[in-house]
Amino acid sequence: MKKSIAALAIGTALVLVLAACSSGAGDGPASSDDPLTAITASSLTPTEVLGTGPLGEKSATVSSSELSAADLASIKAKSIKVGIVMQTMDIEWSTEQVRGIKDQVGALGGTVINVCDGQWDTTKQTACIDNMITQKPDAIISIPVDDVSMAPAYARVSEAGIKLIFIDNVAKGLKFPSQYQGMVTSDNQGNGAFAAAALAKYIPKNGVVGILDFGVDFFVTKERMRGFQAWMKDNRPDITVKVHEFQDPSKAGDDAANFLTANPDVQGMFTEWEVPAVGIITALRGQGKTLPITVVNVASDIALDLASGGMVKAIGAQRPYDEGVAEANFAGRAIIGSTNPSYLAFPAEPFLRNNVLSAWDDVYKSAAPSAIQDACKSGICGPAK
Amino acid sequence: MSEQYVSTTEKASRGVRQRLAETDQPLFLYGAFLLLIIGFTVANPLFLTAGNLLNILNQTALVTIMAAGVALVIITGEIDLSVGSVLALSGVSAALFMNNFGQNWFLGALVGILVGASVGFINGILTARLLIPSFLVTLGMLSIARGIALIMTGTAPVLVTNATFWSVFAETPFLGIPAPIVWTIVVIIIVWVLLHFSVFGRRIFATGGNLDAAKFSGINTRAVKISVFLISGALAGLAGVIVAARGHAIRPDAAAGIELDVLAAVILGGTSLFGGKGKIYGVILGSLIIGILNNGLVLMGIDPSIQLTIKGALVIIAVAFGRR
Amino acid sequence: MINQNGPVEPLLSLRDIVMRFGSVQALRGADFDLLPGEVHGLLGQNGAGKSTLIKVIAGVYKPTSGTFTIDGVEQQYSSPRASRDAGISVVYQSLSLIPSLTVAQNLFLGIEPTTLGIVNTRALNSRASEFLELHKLPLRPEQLVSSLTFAYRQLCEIGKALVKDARILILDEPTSSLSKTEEPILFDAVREATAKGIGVIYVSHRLSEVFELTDRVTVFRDGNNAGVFNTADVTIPQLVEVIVGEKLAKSVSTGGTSLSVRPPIAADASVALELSNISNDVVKGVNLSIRRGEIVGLIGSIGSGRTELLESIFGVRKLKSGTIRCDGRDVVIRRPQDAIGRGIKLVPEDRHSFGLVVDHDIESNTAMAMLPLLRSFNFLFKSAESKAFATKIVTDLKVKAPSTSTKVNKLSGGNQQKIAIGKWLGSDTKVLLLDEPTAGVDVGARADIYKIIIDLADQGTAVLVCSSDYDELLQLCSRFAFISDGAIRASADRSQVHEEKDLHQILEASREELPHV
Repeated sequence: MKKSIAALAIGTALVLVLAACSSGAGDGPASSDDPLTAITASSLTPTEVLGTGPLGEKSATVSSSELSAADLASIKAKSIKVGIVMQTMDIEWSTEQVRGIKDQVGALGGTVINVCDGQWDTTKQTACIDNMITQKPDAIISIPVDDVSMAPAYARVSEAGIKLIFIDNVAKGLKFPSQYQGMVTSDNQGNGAFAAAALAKYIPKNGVVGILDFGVDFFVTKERMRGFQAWMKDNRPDITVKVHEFQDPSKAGDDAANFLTANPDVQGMFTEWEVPAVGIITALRGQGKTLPITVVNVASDIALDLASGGMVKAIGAQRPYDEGVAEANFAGRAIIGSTNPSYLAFPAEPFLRNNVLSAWDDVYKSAAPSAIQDACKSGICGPAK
Repeated sequence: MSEQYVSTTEKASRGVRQRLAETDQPLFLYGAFLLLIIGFTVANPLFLTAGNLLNILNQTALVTIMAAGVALVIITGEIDLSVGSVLALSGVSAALFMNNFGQNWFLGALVGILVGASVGFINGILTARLLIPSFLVTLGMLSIARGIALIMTGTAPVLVTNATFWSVFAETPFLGIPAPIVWTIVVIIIVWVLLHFSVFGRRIFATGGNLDAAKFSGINTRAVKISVFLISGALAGLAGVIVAARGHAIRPDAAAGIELDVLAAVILGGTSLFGGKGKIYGVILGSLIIGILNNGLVLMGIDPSIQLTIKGALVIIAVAFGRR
Repeated sequence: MINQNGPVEPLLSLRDIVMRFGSVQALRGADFDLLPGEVHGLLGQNGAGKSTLIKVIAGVYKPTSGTFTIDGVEQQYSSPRASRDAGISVVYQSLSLIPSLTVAQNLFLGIEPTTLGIVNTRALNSRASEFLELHKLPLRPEQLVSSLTFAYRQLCEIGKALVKDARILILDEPTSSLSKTEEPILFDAVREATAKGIGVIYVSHRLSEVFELTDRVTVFRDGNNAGVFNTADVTIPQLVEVIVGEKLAKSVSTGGTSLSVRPPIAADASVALELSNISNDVVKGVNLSIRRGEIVGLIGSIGSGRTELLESIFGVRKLKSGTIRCDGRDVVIRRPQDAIGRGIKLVPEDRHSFGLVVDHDIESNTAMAMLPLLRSFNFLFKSAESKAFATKIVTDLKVKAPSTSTKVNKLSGGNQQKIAIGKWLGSDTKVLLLDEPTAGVDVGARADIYKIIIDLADQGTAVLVCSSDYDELLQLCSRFAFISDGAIRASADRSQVHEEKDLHQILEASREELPHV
């Protein structure tokens, strides 16, 4: 018992000493003069979609997803049945996609017969596809958990005479338009480029930025990374980019803290989606530091940080709801035998502090949560829509 | 004269050897702990800086808090796999409560901890009263609690705007110590007293050491089990509150998979999976060793896939040596 | 049984065996011979070297020096496997059966009859059934071992050894948990084996059965053999003298003849425990009252409901009807806590499973039963008082242990049992229920335990003791109750009983009165 008391006492003393030592440690670069205050968000986004489609093709325009009056009439006449197979239903991006699809399928006079959750598991998603085929919808809209191992299951969709629209990624080897009839995604490279352009404003000449990179071969995050790095290489070759890979998103904060300790020279951070971004914010708060952070994908927590002048300086957002609407239109068009473009990427939706409220509305089709509006009271976030 | 001298040293050395042989204390842990610190310091001088050590304590705070509760459960011979999901459910409940019922930081935290305690209580009832193996009960609860959190939030993060809440659970240091570490210390002291200095602690050890003998000695083993599950849930609830305060928001998918780190810390700390054995400072050391491994390997710039392999191997080695 | 017509070649022969563990010498040049077809008793106190010798024979230990021959061939093996291959089979106290398998599956584990690589269950069961019949083992092949009582598991264990064509069978305390009615079954199995030329080494603390069964005995003391005797040529007192050494012999009472008969309790002594018509699924309408200071022996075979009766009084089993009165007041006992609160304590038969936490130290075990008394501020544990109590128990009950922080599994069976009894002595004990109090306890510790029980009774505790060792009951009790089929069928005062045989007769007679259903 005595020993354990001693151990505890020593531990406590150690903590006190550490805390005392660290209280003076590193404050990040001061952020009083925000270089983005007067910048128009759209000026930082690429002029055209950067990402190319599965066949190397350029993206169609967003307007290409709008239905002609004739198409609309014939789709409505068919009361289409659509099935949705997702990779997960545990993230907001998925719920927004599904919401967009359901709203638009309803507007087209059809029904969504079922939504199946693949739970990040190829076996479960294969079962989803097969079960969906037996329910005989007119079309299936789906994002593959894995583009290689899911290919045989997706091949069975066209064999059953069902139309297939992909979200974000096409299963390997599937032929357009015989085996799938369209693909809708975001311009992930463009979002990465926007995040790079915004972050670069905070980095002095010959400065250093860090990337907290998802160390798993995942198509979407790699695209964002590619866009960020390409922009830096082309426009700010003076900046050194340090990359740290992480594998467990729930522990990204720990990785960020350790990376920043090992690399005290880092002056700004980029990461590929909001979960590791929250990790970086938490880590920096824990270390009593601030750094500018840019990120792809919007969510209320990082939007609040952006609106209240926190560490998040820019968010390159996707528009999952609008994508869902486009996917529903593609499905309707495929069902009546009209052709879709093989590849449509929605351009980046840029969030800066000065346009948070309107950009939020663009993405979510509703006003920002009251907490974000409260943080914006002084009009600093620009007008709402 | 000389004879006497020889005999006393022999006696002394035998005493030490005997004590080493009979002790339950995870002596190897001290060794592993020192070895890691020395190794990482040599590899990267940044490792042994105050800032970085504080880093490690900050990172291990959540695991340590939950490991303290889970250790109690494991000492009674049961297991709790649900703590990661309970953390998320509690954090989400606290945040939603504050957002909907008047932004009171204290009530918010209380609701978070109570939600955790309630889930723990249900785990305890199902295990101790209905005699369903706790592995199954808490494995099920892992999904149920996570599912409820996702339903309650519609998969979106819940914002936390109460500055006092941030301050108390994450941001205002006490005596220079960051708040999460302060909470960890408070939890450790409470659980330490509970386990090693209270009658309840004796009941926990007896229940896990031999359930039937404990019953035959007049110990209400059901009540003991329900209590430890409740404590484990409440501590997961506290961890959820801290996560919500740290991030100024809580996500329903927060801390997914953290139960594996928690279990690793508990087992590494010398707590027997068969019950009846365990020490709180072993749990702290176990948690710190995992934190140091995470931190040190990143500081050395090792590829994350290799890091995973090294961590797994080291855990197996440490446990193998720990069993003696 | 032994061929008297000439010198018989020993089956097993150990000469001058020395076994050192560091500085400790467990065997100091021990000799041992086993002839084919004989039952050879191995006696000695705990620590005398019996277990070490057995482990040497079983290949668990390799002796430091000495020679070891089987059929005159010198053996060099040092693994249990090599020992089994040489035809040696050991039945340890801790059983090696797999509870989730049936008797047949256990008997033929690893050598199951197969059809196309799949176990042929029918052939397995019929082979097992033939085998059990041949060896007169009262077991059914398809019974699950987990459903067997301790005694029948022991029989199954012996059967398992016989299946493997053992030539040397070592039985370590085989009867410690058997009732008197089961002993003959075991003895028959042993005789069956010796008739086939198997040599049996028989380790036991119960001298009476050693006399009944063995041809020769070897006594061990201090790591050496203190003598080899033909059983027919010695008496129990002589053997006790050899076992404990001359000086101690006088203070140890054993055997039926030298007993002091415990006088009956005065009729005006108040009744401590009164059972009125208590019943549940096993116990059927038991009436029994025990006065303060009285020791009552509960006699019955395995399955008679004797253990269940004790457990029902203690609150482990729920009562369906009937009342329990303690010190003249009706008490409701639903759980052990209730019983303990009333001063009713149970020392269970299987102390490893129910009495003690053997992985924990002495102090934790003695504290376990009296935690409510070791509480300050309704919460904190009174550590110093607990240590003091543990120390008192160790001293008062003569527990041989280096300290109170010694783990219980490091103690001998007798010392463990002292802790299992001692843990109850921290609070007022009105009624003490003892189930097989000396199972696996050596002669010296046995006397200590008898003294503890008698002292408690002298201080006014009512004792109900259940034992298959009738010697023991004759020494302790002033009255006997005979139980079968869950009910008390007869009772007798100590004065009506002269020797073990009388108790057998009363039990048998009481059972015959049972209606045959």
